[in-house]
Amino acid sequence: MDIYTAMARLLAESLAIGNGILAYLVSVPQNATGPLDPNITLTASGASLVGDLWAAATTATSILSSMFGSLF
Amino acid sequence: MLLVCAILCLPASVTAEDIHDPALDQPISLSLTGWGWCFSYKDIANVTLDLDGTMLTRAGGEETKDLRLSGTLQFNLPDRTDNFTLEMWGTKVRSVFYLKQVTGEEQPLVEIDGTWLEETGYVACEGVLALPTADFVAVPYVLVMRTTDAEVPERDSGAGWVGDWEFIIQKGTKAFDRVADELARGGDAVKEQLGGFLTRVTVIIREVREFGVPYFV
Repeated sequence: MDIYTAMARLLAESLAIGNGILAYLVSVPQNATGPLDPNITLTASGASLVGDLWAAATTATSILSSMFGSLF
Repeated sequence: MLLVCAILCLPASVTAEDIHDPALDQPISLSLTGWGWCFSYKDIANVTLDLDGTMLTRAGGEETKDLRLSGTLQFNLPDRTDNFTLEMWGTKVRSVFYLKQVTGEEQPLVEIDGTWLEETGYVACEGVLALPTADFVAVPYVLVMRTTDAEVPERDSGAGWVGDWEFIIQKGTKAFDRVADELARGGDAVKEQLGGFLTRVTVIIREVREFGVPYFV
């Protein structure tokens, strides 16, 4: 196996694993049209992750705000 | 005052002939194929880009060429095809290039950049297309394309700063081409995984954005 085949396999397998993990977070109906389709919903785990991401974003903004308050 | 001086120093008119050497202009034709994805669809589409036009060589600088191309882009899904008519201008410097849609009313906004290896005419690129809609929300398409009827040429390293960069570009392009070959061999299975992955990631981003309104409308 050359490096290109190894890279392609690594990429494809990472994609499959990532997609499998995301399937626990986001429920996509078979007939969904795309990401803007309101029929695609978060699972309970997905909603929890989104809440955590927003909390992290809020904390990061607070730190940035403190830095700007101190520097300028 | 400086502005006035600058305006006075400008030549009365600058024509295309002042910038380009018409004797070196060459007609070109690009036919690229690849994959694309759009927020409006879950699946990965087959993309075909056909462009014809002229490569204009700048006077005094043969490594820098301007591109004037027009043609069509097809975004093919199993149940539909989106067609776009393109009028693109851009520049190619040695082995890298970019193209941008000459915008007008109701035109898609398109930008393409990538590598163009002139020894064999091999082109690999990525692009973004944003389609304005009635409610002013642009629908984005992302595209990855390459020529399929040309091989990536071989190059040697060790020819100075520029030569080394050209070598790096050639090797990177070759890696992209070979990995794309392998992924294409996976066909629909890879496309299904990729489409599902992009859709789910975008939904998570969509939901996080909901908290950030009105900054992220």
